[in-house]
Amino acid sequence: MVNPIDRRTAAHGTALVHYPAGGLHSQRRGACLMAEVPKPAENPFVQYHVVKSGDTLSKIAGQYYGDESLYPKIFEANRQLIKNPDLIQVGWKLRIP
Amino acid sequence: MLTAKSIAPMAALALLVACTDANKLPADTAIKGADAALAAVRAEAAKYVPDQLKAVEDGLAMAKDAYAKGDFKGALASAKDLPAKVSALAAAVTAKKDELTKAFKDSTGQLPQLLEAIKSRVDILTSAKKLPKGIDASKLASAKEGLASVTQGLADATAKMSAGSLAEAVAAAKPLKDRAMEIAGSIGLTF
Repeated sequence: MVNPIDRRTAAHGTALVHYPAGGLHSQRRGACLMAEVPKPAENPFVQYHVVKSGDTLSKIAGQYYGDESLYPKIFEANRQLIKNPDLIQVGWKLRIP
Repeated sequence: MLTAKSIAPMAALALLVACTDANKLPADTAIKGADAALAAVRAEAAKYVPDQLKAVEDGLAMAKDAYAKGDFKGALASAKDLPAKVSALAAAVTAKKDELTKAFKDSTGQLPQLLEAIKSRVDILTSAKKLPKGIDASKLASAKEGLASVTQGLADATAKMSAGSLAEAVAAAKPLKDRAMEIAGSIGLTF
């Protein structure tokens, strides 16, 4: 069986499949993922992007801003969710400032 | 020599005068009271409920007219409902002001947040080396101008509201949100 942590490392910068708690992850890891649900935004006018397979922050920045180098804007706006800009997961709902 | 035949009309006239005079003071008091009460709400009523004000002023004019002609009973009859009508007028003014205040809040309540979101995206796009598909430099420039215009429009509408020009403030504020949503859409900002 492939260790999901290893897969995350191998797929550097690419969205990964979200493993539910109790699946391939340990309970501890699952609990950690559950805590990553973003809090409701204060400003109701927020554009969101739901991460798809193959997405990277750079690609998303390119899609919305036309310039992939602006991915830190998205990273900063989602710091509560994204710990490492190279690791985003399918299904995550990212705020696009 | 006074006979019963000649006294009867005189007695009737005296009775009529007595009854009329009995209405004079109450009529005068009612008219003056209505006048004073109306003066307190006239300016705002003219602004917010002009039709209702006209109806009350017509009633007051009728009472004054009757009084001037010596028809004190008629004057009292016309004036006796005026306090209630003036109270209703004052309540209508308050209701209209509340309605306009709510309309202003509905139009502008979330506008600063929407403008903040647009400004954030405009700033990011301004710093981009190239623009996303469907957005060019002229579209971005137009969005910047639109943002400045709506921001100024909001400031103007808020100033009108603070100055007590509620209807003007609502009229000024009403198109702002739609315009802001249009600007947001033009730079790919959808919610």
